[in-house]
Amino acid sequence: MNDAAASSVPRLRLRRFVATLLDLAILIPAGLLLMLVTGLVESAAAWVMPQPIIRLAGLAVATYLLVNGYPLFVHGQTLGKRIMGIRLEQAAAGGRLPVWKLAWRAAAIPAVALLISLQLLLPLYLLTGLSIFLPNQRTLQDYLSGSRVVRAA
Amino acid sequence: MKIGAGLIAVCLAWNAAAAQQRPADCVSTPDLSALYNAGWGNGLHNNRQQPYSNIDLANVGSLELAWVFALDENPAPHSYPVITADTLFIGTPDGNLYALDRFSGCQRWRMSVDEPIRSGITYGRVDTPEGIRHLLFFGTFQGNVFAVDAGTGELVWQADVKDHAWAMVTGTPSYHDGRLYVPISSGEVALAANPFYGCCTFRGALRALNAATGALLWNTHVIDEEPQVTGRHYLFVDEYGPSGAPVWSSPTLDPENRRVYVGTGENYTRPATSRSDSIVAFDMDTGTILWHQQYTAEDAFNMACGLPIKANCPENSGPDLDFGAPPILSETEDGTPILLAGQKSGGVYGIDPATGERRWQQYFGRGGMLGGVHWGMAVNQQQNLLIAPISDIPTGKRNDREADPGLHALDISTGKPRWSTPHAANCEGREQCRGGLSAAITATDQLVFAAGLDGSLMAYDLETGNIVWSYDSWREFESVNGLPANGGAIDVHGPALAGDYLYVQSGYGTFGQKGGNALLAFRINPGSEPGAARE
Repeated sequence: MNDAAASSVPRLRLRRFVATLLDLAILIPAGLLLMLVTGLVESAAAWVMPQPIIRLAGLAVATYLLVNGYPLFVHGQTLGKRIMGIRLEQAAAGGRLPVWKLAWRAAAIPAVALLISLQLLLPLYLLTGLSIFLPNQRTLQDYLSGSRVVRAA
Repeated sequence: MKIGAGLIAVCLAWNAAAAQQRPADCVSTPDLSALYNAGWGNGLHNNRQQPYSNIDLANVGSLELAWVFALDENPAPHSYPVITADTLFIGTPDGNLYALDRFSGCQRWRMSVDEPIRSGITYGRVDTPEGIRHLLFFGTFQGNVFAVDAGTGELVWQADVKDHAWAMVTGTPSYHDGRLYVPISSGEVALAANPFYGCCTFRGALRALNAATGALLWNTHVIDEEPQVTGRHYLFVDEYGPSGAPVWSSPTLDPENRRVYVGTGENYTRPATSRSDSIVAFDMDTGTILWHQQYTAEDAFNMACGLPIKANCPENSGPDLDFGAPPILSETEDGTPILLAGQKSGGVYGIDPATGERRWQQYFGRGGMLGGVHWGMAVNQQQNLLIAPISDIPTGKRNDREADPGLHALDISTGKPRWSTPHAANCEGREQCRGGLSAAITATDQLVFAAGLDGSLMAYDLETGNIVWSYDSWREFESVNGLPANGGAIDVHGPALAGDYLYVQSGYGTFGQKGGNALLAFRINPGSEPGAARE
């Protein structure tokens, strides 16, 4: 992307950052609530390896799908993005992302990181997240799924 | 060509260096013709008296370190050996069962399981469909019991004895006449610290297995009632009770009267039951509970009680005063059978084994969650003497009594104290060091051997309580198997004796104590056994 194109991208860094914080703030209690309601970790068997890993990973995925995945698919917005007035769309054609692209967008980085090492997950996320400070403001996830974040109408 | 020769030379030097590091092996079949120690208690009655020790008052001063074996890498070994004419069998939390030449520490064979060996080892001469077999039995952290051929290390059978996901076998199984009696405890007491866990559903139990096959013969829970939902926290997390009353220690067998005795632990949740913190007698043939006698009522406690988030801690939590030590079946001076029990409260009791009625009681020190009497007492039947090690680490609820860590001797018939020897902790400049005698002890005809959480190992004169020999094991050792060996707190099952030798594990890294992995073998000098003669 040349300088002219980069300058046409609206400056949404702060909004994206706050939206991410808001999503996290919603995800964690939502995950806890889901855990309590389902009784997923209430039994003794749930704490015998490898059950805790399987169940907590399942819980994380289910929480993400319910709290972020579904609204992203339907509206192109998580609650955090909605509050901050931004949404996700296809970079090339605009419009809603298909499910597989959303899934790829959400799972690509964790999948790669898991393959390398679980310990690399957090640093890798931070590193790719920092790419929104580059001129075109697109993260690695955006490139992989062909998406970009724009101001909501 | 020169490069090739150089590489070969380097490889040879590397191999030579590696060979020096290799564990000393002496692959051979153990001699099973004589037994010094067939299980945790030096006999069915768990009296921890070793009549086949050559160590006495005259030669105990000559005890010196003969060899050290590094028990793998986990710093909390929790096993106790079976000792035969020439071999010591011991397990490790890394899942290895070793058969070691007891004179040199070299390895005759090793077998491995995929779980931590948590109990002592028990020997049984078992009539199987294939003929008489010499079997070793042990329990694991995952609630399995294994039977292994003592001659070869071959796995004979494996039995899953748990009916709760967090059940485990920490007490050493007891063997008699083709049957294995397995105590069932659990880690649920610790899992309760998790506020999202629906605490608690485990019930302590005693199980009898066919020693030839591992088949279950009977299974009796200490608590009759199935746990029910008793409440709820965080809106959704169910609470259950009654629960707990684990059996932590080796069952005491009384074949003459067809009874098995065990001590039980506290309830994990309310309602509290009448068989927690109790001595319980089972029918040896059917598993029916014959009688029980409770020593601390309303003791409902779990690990959540020590945390800032006490979601699973029972209301008005109890002092956690288990019977961690098994009862000893003994006799009074006039030959009347008596059961001797020591509790974490510091209480020591004389009990009628037929009815459970308490004949006498005596208290030492202040007691606490880690004892009082923690792992085991010993008797000297000839001197009508019961010896109780007292830990008294300042834990748990306060009471009015003064701490009195040390060794205390009582009259078996009356419970009257004979002598007390306080334990002066050697903790200066040592981190994770505590005073007190927590580990089980072992007596001979003239001596009693005890060990401290400060790494000290001592021999006491049985008549006077005077310390006649001591050794500080809080250090690094050079091991015969080439692995780093470290001493630390001596806890759990304590010293074992056989012929000219004294064996003990140093290092137990739980409860904030200093861990280690050193199996130490001491020998009197000059000795009369082959190991000593080899020198």
